[in-house]
Amino acid sequence: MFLNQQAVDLSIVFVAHQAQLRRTALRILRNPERAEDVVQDAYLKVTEAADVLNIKQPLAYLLQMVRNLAIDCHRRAAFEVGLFEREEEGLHVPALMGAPEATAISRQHLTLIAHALSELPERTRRVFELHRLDGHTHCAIASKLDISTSLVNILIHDAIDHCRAALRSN
Amino acid sequence: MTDSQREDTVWQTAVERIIRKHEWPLDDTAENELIAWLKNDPAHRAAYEEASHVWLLLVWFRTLKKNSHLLLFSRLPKIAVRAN
Repeated sequence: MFLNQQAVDLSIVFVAHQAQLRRTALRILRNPERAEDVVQDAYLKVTEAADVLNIKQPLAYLLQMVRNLAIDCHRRAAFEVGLFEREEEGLHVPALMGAPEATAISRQHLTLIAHALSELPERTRRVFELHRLDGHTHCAIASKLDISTSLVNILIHDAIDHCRAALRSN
Repeated sequence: MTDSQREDTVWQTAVERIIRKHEWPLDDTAENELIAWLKNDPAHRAAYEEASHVWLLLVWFRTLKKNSHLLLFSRLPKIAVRAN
């Protein structure tokens, strides 16, 4: 109970100081989109942390977390630059891999997806979740559920096809 | 092949490529091959974009279900295909 209370407090502090946390990330990254991503990562960490410590200075703790994540992100970005340049050079058209706007997520689409997933047969949904959300390989899923790897692949395709149809019907 | 069969084949190929990329990071050869496939036909790109969109929504659906506070953010995350 006590620990839960702490967790709630931390997320409240987070939301209250969102702007300051974002500025902290922005100062390190100099890129508003990456800064936003870092702030969101930090938020996920705060909400998902299983062992919330007794944090005496929650804001200082959050600021340090955002700084650390921003520095990590900065290093990663430097590493990725090579990859992205190569992709963009190959494609010559805006709005695909290097342009996240192409896949901006709408709440409406999320609702449609939620509904589509609930319509899937149980086994299909299970296979799909193991693959997409839990990161299991085809082989691992096949042996876990005692089905063939080719059936695993078919069921994953079925799930994606069904979600696509749901989005298109809108 | 009719147009709709062709479209279906392109879609299935796009999905297959995304599944494979998710399961195992592409090496240089596979990455170049993907880029070549995307450049080959605008329909390939369109299918790949659509499949990526569905793919990404599926993860965010679960994340948001667990963390409804994320809806307070000014925008939902812009995740590119690289997130895979």
